[in-house]
Amino acid sequence: MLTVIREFFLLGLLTFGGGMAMIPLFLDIATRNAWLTEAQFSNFVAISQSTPGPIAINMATFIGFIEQGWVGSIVASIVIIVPGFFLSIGLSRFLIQNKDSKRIKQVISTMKAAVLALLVYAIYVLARGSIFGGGPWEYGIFVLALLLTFCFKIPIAFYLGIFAVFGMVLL
Amino acid sequence: MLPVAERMLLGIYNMNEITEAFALAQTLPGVIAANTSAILGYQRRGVLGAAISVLGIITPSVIIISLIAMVFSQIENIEVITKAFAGIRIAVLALLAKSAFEMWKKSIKGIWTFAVFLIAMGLVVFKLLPAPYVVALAAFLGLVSTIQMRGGKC
Repeated sequence: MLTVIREFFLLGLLTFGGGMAMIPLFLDIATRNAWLTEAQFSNFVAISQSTPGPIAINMATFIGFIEQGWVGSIVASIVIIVPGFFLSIGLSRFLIQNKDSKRIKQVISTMKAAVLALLVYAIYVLARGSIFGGGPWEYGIFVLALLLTFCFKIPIAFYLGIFAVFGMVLL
Repeated sequence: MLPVAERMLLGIYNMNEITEAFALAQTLPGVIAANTSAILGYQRRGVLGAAISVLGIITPSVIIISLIAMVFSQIENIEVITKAFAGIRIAVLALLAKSAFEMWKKSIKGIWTFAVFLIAMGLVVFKLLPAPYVVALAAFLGLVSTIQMRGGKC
């Protein structure tokens, strides 16, 4: 339980940019502690995205539940918001006064560049398991998925539903 | 998330307060939705208000996802489900790729951010530093790089 608390607190403290920017750090936590396999992790991302609520909270709840049941899910989702919570109430006045500060922007954009690198690497790690090991169907489905996400705006649950059917029929 | 929040909160807050809180929340670490509700709750009812708004934001997730997690661990080994998720995992990768693309457009501007991106990439690819420390290192580099920004305020 202490590990759950430490990991999610750090996660809540270190990521800027919300939801998707947090995915690589979730992946890091889940695989480094051997809580989840990479495949399970991707499944959780899909479920967290297609259910209501902030994706980061959903992920924290999910991992917390798998690790420690109901207590784990509650603890993980509270711990992950604690750093942001105290900074929100403590710093909001300061940040409003300095909202055009170049320094703050510089620090945040530097962190975002690093987080993006982590995200790109996370995509590679997850692709290794779900596409690279597969055959032409896997690649074909991926190309189709890229086309749909980049060129159309489809409700997420419907989009994932389509690929669930592809998976059942083709994979 | 923002449009829904606006529709539901407009009786209590005005448009400006909501957009301002949302913008502010993004300059703080953590979950944007939770930060936004902490800021908004704090404005009206202090620390207690902030705590209650934040609990309000996470409670539905905790209940819904815990229930799903309970069911999911029972069914994830059924063959049909395994196959469906093999398809879904590929679809998720495309979503992540889209997010990475959007983030790239927004955050890689100029030599500095590109260099940080490359350094961070090297550190994770060669497993030189665990992911959270890479971000912490970037925060440090960001701070150091502001030293030369003397003069003017902040």
